[in-house]
Amino acid sequence: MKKTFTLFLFLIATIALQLSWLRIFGWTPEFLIALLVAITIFVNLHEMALFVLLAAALVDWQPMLSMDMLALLLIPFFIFALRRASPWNIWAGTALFAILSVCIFYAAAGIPREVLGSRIFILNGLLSAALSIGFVFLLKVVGLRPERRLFAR
Amino acid sequence: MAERGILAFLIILLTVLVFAQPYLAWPVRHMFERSAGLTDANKLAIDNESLRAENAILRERNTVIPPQFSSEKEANVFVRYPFNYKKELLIDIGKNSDVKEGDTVLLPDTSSGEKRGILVGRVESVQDKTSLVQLIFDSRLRIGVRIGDQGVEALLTGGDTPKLTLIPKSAQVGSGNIVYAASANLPYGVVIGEIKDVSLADGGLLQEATLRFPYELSDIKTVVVTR
Repeated sequence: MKKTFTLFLFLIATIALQLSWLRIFGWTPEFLIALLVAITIFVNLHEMALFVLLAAALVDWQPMLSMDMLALLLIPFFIFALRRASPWNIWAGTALFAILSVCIFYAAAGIPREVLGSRIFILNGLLSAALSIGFVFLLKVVGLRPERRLFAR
Repeated sequence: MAERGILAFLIILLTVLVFAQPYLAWPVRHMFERSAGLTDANKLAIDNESLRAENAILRERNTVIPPQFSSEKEANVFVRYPFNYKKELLIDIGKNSDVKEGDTVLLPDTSSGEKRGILVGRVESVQDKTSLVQLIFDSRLRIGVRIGDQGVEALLTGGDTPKLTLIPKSAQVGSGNIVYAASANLPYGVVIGEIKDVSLADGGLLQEATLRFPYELSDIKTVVVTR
């Protein structure tokens, strides 16, 4: 229960940070995607579903389900499965999966190819990787332990 | 066991919320997206730029052709796109107010009683009671525009910093020149903003320019949908 509550607080704070940052600066680091990638280490499938749905409910911006929203709902599960099927070390895997998630998300959102290939976008991906690693570190500091199944192989 | 039950209940509740009733969570979003709205200085700047656009068209064409709107509907902004690169707003009118895809969305000029305003975007999709507006800051947007008294043609490319591209090298354009719409799917002459900086594009054969807008995107709380 402590884990669920801790992750709930992290999620709310992250969404608040992302929306406020976007309002103030007109651009935001990918806090939410980075956090969703980070928590795939600490949760089981049911908890993953809870946090992904909660995130989607809080950031959804239109009545119809859009491709962006569908991507936000599915990417964490894809990363969740990938983590358990791949031999990557936690830190390297987190960085790689954060970059991958940002690329998949914006490609699904229909962002033009010239933007996806721009220097800003690449920097955004690298920043997301750093943020995701930061979240993993913070979650460990507050006492969460990675799921044992991560090390099953 | 009880913990699992609570988890399952929450997952079902959130699934219904996301897929069937997404608007129930929007009041929570508003807590993080609160803005002060347009200031009097913003409104004055919008009025000023609208008038300058009319003057520019007058000098270019020797006649005034104000944008022609057959309808105007005021709408409130519900929520905004929460990520980067896309800039979208959800407004509180839709098919119930006869809004159609492609309608023009303006920040109205409130001082004169005339139908003027500054372009902020166009309607991308329409639902029964809401419409999604694509803003000119959206990286997918491309609009044909004209610049200043000479009506120099250019292409507006959306993004966090919208840019004017394809400006001929010989064209006399500079900081402060007014930019207005000259695109088939927008009313001719709707003001967009003014030029901030002009520079030579890569290769040196054309010019490009950045724009200055008389409002902050985050301060938009109400808009007018026109056709």
